[in-house]
Amino acid sequence: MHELAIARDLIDMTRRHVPEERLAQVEVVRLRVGSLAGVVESSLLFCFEALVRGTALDSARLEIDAIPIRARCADCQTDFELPGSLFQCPDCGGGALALLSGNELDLQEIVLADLAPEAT
Amino acid sequence: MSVITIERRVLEKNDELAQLNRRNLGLAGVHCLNLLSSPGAGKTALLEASLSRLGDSLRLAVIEGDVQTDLDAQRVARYGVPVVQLVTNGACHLEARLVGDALREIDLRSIDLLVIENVGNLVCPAGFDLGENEKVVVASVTEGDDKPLKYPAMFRNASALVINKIDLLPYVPCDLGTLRANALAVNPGLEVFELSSLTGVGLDAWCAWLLRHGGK
Repeated sequence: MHELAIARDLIDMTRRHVPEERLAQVEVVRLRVGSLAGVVESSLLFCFEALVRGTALDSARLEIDAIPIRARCADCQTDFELPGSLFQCPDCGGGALALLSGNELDLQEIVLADLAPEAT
Repeated sequence: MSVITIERRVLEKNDELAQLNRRNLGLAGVHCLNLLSSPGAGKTALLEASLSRLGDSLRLAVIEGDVQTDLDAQRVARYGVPVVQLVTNGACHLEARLVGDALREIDLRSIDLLVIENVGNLVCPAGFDLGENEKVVVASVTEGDDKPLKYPAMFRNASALVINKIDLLPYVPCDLGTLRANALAVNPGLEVFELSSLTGVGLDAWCAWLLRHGGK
């Protein structure tokens, strides 16, 4: 349940990046989560919703882009996506891999709705 | 609609505090290990056996992380080393802020090596940098030989793996060769130690590694 701590930090970050008077306009908080980050998507969504409920961010929705594990083989320089947790080059069988992606846990962007035009 | 692009790590606050811990430890010349495993793999028993064997040859301090109780701190304190117990009150992992608090209670100038025993958990602590120099994973043979494949993040980012409880191998369906091969498939750079904290077999090589990493 470290997803609760992650959701808490995510909301703190959102509050730092959006002026307080515009928090209610936040529609989407978009996150990039790598397969190696050890985050359970449904738990994170649940925690996020629980923490924003009744706050200025009540209408904010968390969207998660899942990032696969990609690596480059040091022996044959092939780039590839890892199928599971076998850290092995599919071409030459080498095990010396540099990870290109998979550890992400990044707040990518925050989408705000436009203000409703003021009634005249 | 307007979009604010951020592209920053969600745990950047924790990362910053971890860097601060790392700097403070580095300035004091202390090497720091983050000791990780599932509950009951034998982290505390490994510490006890190591402390007993190392004696005065290495100046060590311990930070104990647990969900509840100071039972582990009591066990380690018997060996006469400085120990700080962190109780997370339900949280499944330690964070850099808590470790920073604990560091203020330890005289860093008087130690060579700091071991942080994390909360027993093979998932949650992986993403939280504490300011350690290296992660060490403990896996016991009673957990079976497939854990490195099931929890790759934990094994991928460690420098050493301690396979504990090898005295129980005759009684459990765990193949040491398979466990070792699975761990090395996830992380070819792992240094692997096979030992029993209970009988003491294999502890010499592990303690030599601790001495080397504590600058001795």
